[in-house]
Amino acid sequence: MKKIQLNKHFYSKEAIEMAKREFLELCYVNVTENEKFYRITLIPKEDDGTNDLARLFANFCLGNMK
Amino acid sequence: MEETNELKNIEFKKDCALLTINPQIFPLEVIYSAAYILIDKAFIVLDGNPKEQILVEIRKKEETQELKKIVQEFYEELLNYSVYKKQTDNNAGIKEIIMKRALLTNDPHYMKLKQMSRNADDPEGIKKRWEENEKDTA
Repeated sequence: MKKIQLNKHFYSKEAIEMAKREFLELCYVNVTENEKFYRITLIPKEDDGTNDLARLFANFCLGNMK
Repeated sequence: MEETNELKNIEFKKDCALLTINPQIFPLEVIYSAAYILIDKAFIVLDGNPKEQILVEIRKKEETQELKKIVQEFYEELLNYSVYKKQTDNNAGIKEIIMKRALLTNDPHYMKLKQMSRNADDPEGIKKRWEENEKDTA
């Protein structure tokens, strides 16, 4: 299970939803939020040894912000 | 391993660098653009406050990469996009005028007005074409 939190000032809900759709084949994605952050939990469907899944997800979100 | 640069706005750690950016110097849209260029090479996460201080975490994707090079590239992109944005802002007014003029060129209402003003400027018909004058006198 990988977790990451993204600051709401810099990441939009739409960008996260788009990234979530792109990651659905790879892992289960759960997004919760508090006042400041989106909290994203990623559970890989198959353990392929990817350590940076959460950071990769953050990169996708950032890419969707442009 | 932990070091900073002379300006103390970059903190180098083992696998990542933490950059502190003043949003008054580099606006958020410029930071997004610079980050977008580098997402193939590094993991980038933004944090902080977009009005006071923006924190950028740059983490290398592979062991063989040189973190300092990536950070340097990020700063170069920041400068590139800042200049581009400044130029775009400076030319925004001119661009708008050119676009308006281009769109108005074939507007029938505008053409009619133009024709009317042309006629009003020339009550004695001096600007009339020679061929038109010949036709009138024949």
